[in-house]
Amino acid sequence: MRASAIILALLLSPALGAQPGYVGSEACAVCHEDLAKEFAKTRHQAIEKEPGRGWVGKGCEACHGPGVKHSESTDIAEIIIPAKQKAIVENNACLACHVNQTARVGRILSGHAKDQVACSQCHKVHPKPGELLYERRKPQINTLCAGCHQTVWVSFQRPHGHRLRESAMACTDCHNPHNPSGYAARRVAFGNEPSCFNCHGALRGPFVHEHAPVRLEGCGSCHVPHGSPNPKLLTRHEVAVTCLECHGAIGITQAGATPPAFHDLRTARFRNCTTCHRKIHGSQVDRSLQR
Amino acid sequence: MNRLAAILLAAAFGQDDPTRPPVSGSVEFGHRWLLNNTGNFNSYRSVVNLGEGPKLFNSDLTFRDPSGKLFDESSLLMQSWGGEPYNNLRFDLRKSRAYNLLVDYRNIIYFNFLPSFANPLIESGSLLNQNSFDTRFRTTDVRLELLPSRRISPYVAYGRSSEYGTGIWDFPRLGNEYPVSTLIRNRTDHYRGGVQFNYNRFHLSLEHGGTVFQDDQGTGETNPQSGNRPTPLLGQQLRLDSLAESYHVRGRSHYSRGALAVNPVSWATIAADFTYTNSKLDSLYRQDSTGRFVIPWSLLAASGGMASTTGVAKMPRPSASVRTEVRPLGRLRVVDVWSTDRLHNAATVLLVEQFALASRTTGAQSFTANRLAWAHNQNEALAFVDLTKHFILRGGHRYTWGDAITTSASVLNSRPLRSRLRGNVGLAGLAFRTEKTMRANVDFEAGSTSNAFLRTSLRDYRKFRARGSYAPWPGGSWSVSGDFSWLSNENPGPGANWDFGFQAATAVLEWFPNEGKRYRVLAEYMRSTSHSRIDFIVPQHYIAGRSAFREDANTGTFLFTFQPGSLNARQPGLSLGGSIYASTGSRPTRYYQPRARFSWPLHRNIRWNAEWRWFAMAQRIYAIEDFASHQFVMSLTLLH
Repeated sequence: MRASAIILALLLSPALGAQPGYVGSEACAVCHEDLAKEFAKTRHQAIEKEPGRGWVGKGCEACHGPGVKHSESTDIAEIIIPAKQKAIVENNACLACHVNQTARVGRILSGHAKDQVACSQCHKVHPKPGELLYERRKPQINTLCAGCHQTVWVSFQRPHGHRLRESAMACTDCHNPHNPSGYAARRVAFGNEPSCFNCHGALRGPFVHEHAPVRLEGCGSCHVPHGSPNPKLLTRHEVAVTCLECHGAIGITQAGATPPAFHDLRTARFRNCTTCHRKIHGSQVDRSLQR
Repeated sequence: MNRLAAILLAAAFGQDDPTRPPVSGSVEFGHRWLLNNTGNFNSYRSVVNLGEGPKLFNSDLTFRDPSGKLFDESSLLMQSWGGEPYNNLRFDLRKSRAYNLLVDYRNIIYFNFLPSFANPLIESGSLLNQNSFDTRFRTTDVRLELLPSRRISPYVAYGRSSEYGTGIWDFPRLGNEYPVSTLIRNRTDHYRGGVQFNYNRFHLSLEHGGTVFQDDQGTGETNPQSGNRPTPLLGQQLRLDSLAESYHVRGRSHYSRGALAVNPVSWATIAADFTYTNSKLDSLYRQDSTGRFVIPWSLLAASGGMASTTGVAKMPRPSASVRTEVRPLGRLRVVDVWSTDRLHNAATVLLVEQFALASRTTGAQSFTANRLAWAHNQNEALAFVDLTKHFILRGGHRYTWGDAITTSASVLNSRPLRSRLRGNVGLAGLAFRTEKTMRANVDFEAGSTSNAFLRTSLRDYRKFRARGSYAPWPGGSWSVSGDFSWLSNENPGPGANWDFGFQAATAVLEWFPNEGKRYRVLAEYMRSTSHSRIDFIVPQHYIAGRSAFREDANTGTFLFTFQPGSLNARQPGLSLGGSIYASTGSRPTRYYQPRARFSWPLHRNIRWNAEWRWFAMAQRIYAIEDFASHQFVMSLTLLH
């Protein structure tokens, strides 16, 4: 019965059937009806429809390769299943169309490409009902990332952290999984600045008096972005400890290593440096970052 | 015959699927009660901040235009509306071969009032955090992409991020500081536009954009206060009677960006991008105060002070990268990435300061020119060898180099501070992947340098990471995965002797018999340790000391869900779980977040939900910040 349907479909589309090796999408749909229906609801249906792409009427075979042998034998070995190939082969099937798009510009050395993470691990080429080709909902994005980045996700269970637990933010607000530039797939803001400034614009500067480590090594010099038991996501449990790890040497001419002034750390007034140095991220007024 | 073929194709590919409704999705709304809040409510607000009242918890709607004239599909996602501290909205509108429109909005309340953070009066029993905030961060992004052809797609975008609210911070004077209220008000408008060219052998993306920034933070205080210093200074009992302080900062920046990716031959890919940003910021600052102060340069007593500054800062920042991937053999790939990022901030400021004495005024003014120049360059080369279909080895080398210089050309100090970066890092790793049953990745890198920007930068370090997952068979009923990270970094230099280490091991077990259609169990556990030991100068007597920080933490999460049938089935659902964080070391902390949720179908399209949550934080050293909160939510979910 199934073979008859395939033969019927082939007869009904003589132009496609005439191409060597290609069987045409309607022949695929005879057996894979559910997949074909769901596929038609995704943006990838453009492959099937748009003449400029060269796959009109044979969109399935754009990724799965010529299907005549498979349609005749129904043998799974006779068709290419990208998800069962090694990651680079699977990715190349996708990159045949997508390699030159903006998001993919950096993929050749993104962490994901380096670790052989295939496109289909995050993107549903054949989405089931309720699934999307690419996820747009923040909780689902976070769940997807947490599937591999468990340590990072568990860190968000600490008392202080960016609001991912509450689904107010998604991992992709700060990270670009395709990684066009930068370390740890960090996004950029305003051309080429750290993505932190997308929200924390007042800390962007430029300042008349810069706090050098912010420029030299970024916000991570003092803050842990994912989660911390320390207030304000500091790397250390107290403000003075955080500051004195850098400002704790004398006779050094290194940028960002200004020695501490005479302060009595035994009193609470001086254990919280930002009580007085309140413009700690950079100041427009004075060099001690007090106002 | 042709009609029959068309019907067959349409049925299979569903172009005009009449079963798809014009509106589909779900909406959940209800009410939250805070049943019992104990402990420090400011801490609760700083950490959790969920409030009481009617809420729209979630809305996930998809719209479809059956005619397809205006749009093909649209989606509206909304979360946590109705006075919630964190709410967001995302709206997508798409029409194939015409346009994509995206609107993204987020509103996050930032409340931070933790007495342990900045409270000089804590030993006297006051719980006033003198560096606290109650503000809102709002970000909006609108992007419209036009699709006149498959090859060329122009786009325009506009975004705004703002912060507005109140806070408490200190007004520092010589010998004393005074907590005062402040109004925080700043915003950044961001606009950009560009065009993308998509061709088979190359992609070119050109973008130009800019920002407009303004910051109008202001402080006003009319209540006299004695500040944090209880004792007189030079015979003077210091006090603040009134204060007016204002910032008027205006900034502009523009940037141009180009990105090109080329496939000149089938065995090579080259990608390059260049960005040039130029930012300028003008600032005015004015401060008027009355009280009893000590003048810094004469140590005389003054009854009032005034300060004003006029400053300007300019900072160009070019950055570029070139990435090359060459595939000379079927089993070998070589990737090289070179990147550079540099900035140069040149700034000047004129500061005028005056103090009122008994019969006259005394003042000083200074003109300062500052410079911060920074350059960071990196080249990384990696080779990948496919040993087998499932096993890939990689190895390579990274070289980083750069310079930083800061100069402050004031009269007091014109000595420039310099830093150099020169680092060689060896890279190695492997990837193992067997279809969908087993994956493993291992990374190792080791670097050594005598030149780094900061004394707490990576110097002599080794980093190892291994990740893996195993599911016994595709479509099976359970899986395990794990993640192990280790970092050891040392700076043996004089005056530092820094020893830093971090280690985390995470294990995850998932059990989902029958693809999790009835029940699912997820259990995660992480054990992490972190330490930092470094020499420093103890500021009160300028002798050497040693700082030690340590955190040993256990974190566990658990979730059990029971859902017989699909979401819109007429069957109840139950989920139980939560997380526990417990640490010892420099800041011993326990934080609990258990929850339970029960769902009952009232109708084919309506579900009734009840949820209980408990948040509790306990800190051994800072017990003043402990809190606990029981919460109960009742809601309805409408499905269509």
